Formats: sequence, structure tokens, C-alpha cells
Amino acid sequence: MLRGDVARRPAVDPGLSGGLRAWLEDGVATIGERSESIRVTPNDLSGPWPDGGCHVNDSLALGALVGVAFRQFLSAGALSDPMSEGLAALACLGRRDIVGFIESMSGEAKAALAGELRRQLALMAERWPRLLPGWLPRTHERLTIPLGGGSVVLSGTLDLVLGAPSSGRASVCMVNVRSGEQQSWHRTALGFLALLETLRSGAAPFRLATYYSTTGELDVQDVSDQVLTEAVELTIDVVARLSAVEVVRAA
Amino acid sequence: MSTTPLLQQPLFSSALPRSANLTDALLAPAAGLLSAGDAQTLRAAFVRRAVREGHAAAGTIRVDGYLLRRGADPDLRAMRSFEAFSWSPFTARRMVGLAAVRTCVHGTRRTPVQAVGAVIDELCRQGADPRERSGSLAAWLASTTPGVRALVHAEAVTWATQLLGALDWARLGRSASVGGPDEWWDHRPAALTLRGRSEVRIRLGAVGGEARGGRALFSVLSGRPGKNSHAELGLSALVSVLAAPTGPPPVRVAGWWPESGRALIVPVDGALLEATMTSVLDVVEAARGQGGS
Repeated sequence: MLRGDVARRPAVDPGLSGGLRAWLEDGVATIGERSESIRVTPNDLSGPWPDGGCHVNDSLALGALVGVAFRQFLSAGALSDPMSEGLAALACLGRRDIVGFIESMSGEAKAALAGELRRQLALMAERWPRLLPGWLPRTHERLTIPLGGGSVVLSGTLDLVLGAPSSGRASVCMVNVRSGEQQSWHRTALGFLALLETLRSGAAPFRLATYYSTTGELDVQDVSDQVLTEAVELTIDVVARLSAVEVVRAA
Repeated sequence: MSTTPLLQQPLFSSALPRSANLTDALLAPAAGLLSAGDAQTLRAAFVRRAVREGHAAAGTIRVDGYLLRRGADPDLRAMRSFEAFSWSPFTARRMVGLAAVRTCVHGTRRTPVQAVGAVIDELCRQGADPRERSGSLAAWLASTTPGVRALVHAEAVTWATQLLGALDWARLGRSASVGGPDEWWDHRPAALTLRGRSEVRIRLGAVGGEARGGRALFSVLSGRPGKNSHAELGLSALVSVLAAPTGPPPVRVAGWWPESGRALIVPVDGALLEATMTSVLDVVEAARGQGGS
């Protein structure tokens, strides 16, 4: 499902990446030089946070634990104590805010969180076969695309990438992991990440997928020009919105 | 000494695979070679400036690429807020990843996943030896939890896969040396230590009429190119020239930012080295103004 039929993968349009970049550069050209860059991430595509920020809560804590557990699972298989291994990993990654939040939970809430993590990991072990090393699986691949001389920075992280760099035919499949319910903007977020990957590597990925760790479902979509052009339009809109917010703040 | 203006060449070619473009740029014939005489002159000039502007009593300043990158930040107070170094999946990935890439390039292992696994297993064996130095990567890996080790594996696989995909290793062949120790230049009278870091060093053939060949240096950098990127790249070349003025001189230095897919190739000439010296001394002055590194 994730690697598909190699012969059916589309040939890379060598002008597409440059065209998308030029479109984006035109779109952000009105922003002008700034002391601080406007940073656009996939989370910005879902609209502004209702309370003006992203605070640690139960679902974010579970999401962070599932995120590291997914990486640990792909590298080392199932671990005997995923909760304490997850906390050690998050501490090591500098996420002390999340570790502090979990450690401050009541015993009952913490046990419930550990139980849910264990359930999702059991599902993960059932649904995810061992990935072949030859597919070059890599996790947590960061993407950073500066535009407008650095006044705008598009960034994101891919939870899992499969496939070697393109030699003329699309070769990469990208997977994001979500611990919450399926939402329409998850596909939009993946489209944004596909755009970043196209700008970075010069070749669009051929397939995108979201793995829902709560249900074990995999939502798969093929990458088309439409996915990428919609991502460009949305990105330009988001930059304009974030820029306007900055102007209001400055005033 | 050459006075060629500093060139920055972003690789914007749309041809795929991109590793072929980058390898072409690294192996391209060099226009000239910094002579041993030029290198000696440059070294003497730098020492004069460093001693003149240095204040040895304030303690030795160590300048590396990271400090130069921070130096572009006007808020130099941030330089004093560094946390002490500690091992983490992020800080361990380069060392593990380089060892893994070496085994893949030499054909011992076929994929980054297998190579990184073998490197971590070996480090854990070393770390379990009571004679192992405490604080080393091996000691940390041996003492940490399986979950954290799995994350080190994951980070190093990603890093190594990116480096393996960046260059055409078959064309580089035996001329490429992966990893190896950092280059250092230490000057006590100026209370200054410089560190040059490159992930890959490539021996080039004879350049021009000179029998000795040059070298191309290749660095993997995080994030995106910034204001001080050319100085950061120039530092690797400068340390190489200062530390071994009669050795094979660097002809060009390449920086590659996998996160943004950007590469910069900077020819090594008098202009680059002079500009880098100035950046180094600016950062040193700022650091001394803040009370040390």
C-alpha cells in the first residue's frame, strides 16, 4: 500500500518544483523584509488555536508519546514498558513540558494514559509489518523551506519517509501519525508537507498516508498536481493571515 | 594571493538525481590552488591580527561553526546561555551516522538501518567495558534505556540516509574520506582555538601545473543557509590551511542543508579566507566582550 507498483509511479516533471517555488515567491513578495520570519507549519493550516496557543493537555501528551513510540517501534520493535520508555525518550528530546505534565497527573489518569498507549502500540504491532531496510525508512525528517529571502519559513516534520531520492520517477512515500480522530485538515497538512518535499528535493512524492493510531486505519492518497497547487494557494493565504496578525500585534 | 571575489553558488539545477549535480560540482576542475607560500603568508597575517586583537587574560576562545552561526545573531547574550553538552539522540546522530555511512560506502553493510544497528551494537559493547571513558558516546549508549537507544537509531538512520543520498558515492570512489577527526588550530599567544568540521573530504587530482592535488570539503548542516553560512564553510577551509599550510589545500568547500535541499559551493581563495578571518575575529571580540566563550 505504501510502496505501490514501481512501474506505475509517475515520471517527475522537472519544471514543477521551480514553478511551485516561483508561485510561492510571488505570493509572499508583498510581505517585505521583517526582523522576524513568519513561520508556517502544518498546524497553522487548521486555523488559529482557539486560545491563542498550543498548551500541553491529555491529547497532546498522548500524541507525543505515540509519536516517539512509533519511532521506537520501527527501530527496535515492541518495548516492554512503553510509558517509561516514552517518558525517558521525551526527556531526552527536550520535551520536559510534556514530561512534567504527565508526571503531575493523578495516578488514575496516568494509568489510563499508559493503558491507552499500550493499546495503541498493540494495534501498531498488528498493523505495521517490519519495514524492509531497502526501502530506506527514516523517521522524523525535518523540512525547512525559506521564501522571500528568509522572511517566510515553511517548516514541518515527516513522521516516516520511504524510498530513495528520485532519479526521474517519483520514489518517495510520506506517512504522518495521528493519535486523535480523523479530520479533513489532516489531508491538507500532508499536502502542505508534500509541497515542502517537492520544493526541497525537486521531485514530488507519489503517495501520502496518515496512520491513525487510535483505530489502526491508514488513510492513503496519491499525489497529484492538484494536491500541490491547493497547498500553494493555502500557504499563501496562511502567510497573509499570519502577516496580518503580526501587523495588528505590532500596532 | 588570489583576489577572486567570493562566490556563492546555490545549486538550483532541476536535473535529477540531485546527487549527480552536487558530485559534479565537488569534482569539477579547480581554477587554481592556494600555494604553500600563500598559505604561510595568510597564516602569519591571521596570527598578527589575532594576537593584536586578543586578550589572553580573558581565557581561550574556541571558535567552531556553531559559534560563527550564532555570531550572526545580534543578540550575543544568547551565546552565554548555552546548556552544557549532553548526549541525546540529536547530538549522537552525527557520530553514529558517520560510522554507518562509512560501512555502507565501503560495502560492509548495504543499508543505513543495518549499518546504524551494527554501529550502535558495537558502541554498546565498548561502553559496557569498565575501561571505557565516562561521558563518552559509547558509555552513554550502554547505560541508557532501550527506548532512548531506539531513538538514537532512528535519528542516525535518518541522518545517514540523507548523507548517502546526497552524493554519488560510486563516482567519488576511494577519493572520499567519510568523517575522520575534526581539524584543529590552536594558538596560545592569541588565546584562540579554531575547529574545522567536515563530514566528507575528497582528494582531487593534480590542479593546474602543480603536482600536488587539492581537496574538496563537504559539510552537512542543519536548518537552512543563513547570513554567516559562507563564513561557517570558510572556517573548515581556514583551519585546514592554518593547521597544515604545506598539505593539500582545500580547493572548494560545500555546505549542504538536507532540511531545505540547498547546497552552497564556495571556492577557497584569498577572498574567502580573509572574509572568514574577519568573521572569526568579530565573533571572538563579541565573545570576549561577553566575558569569554
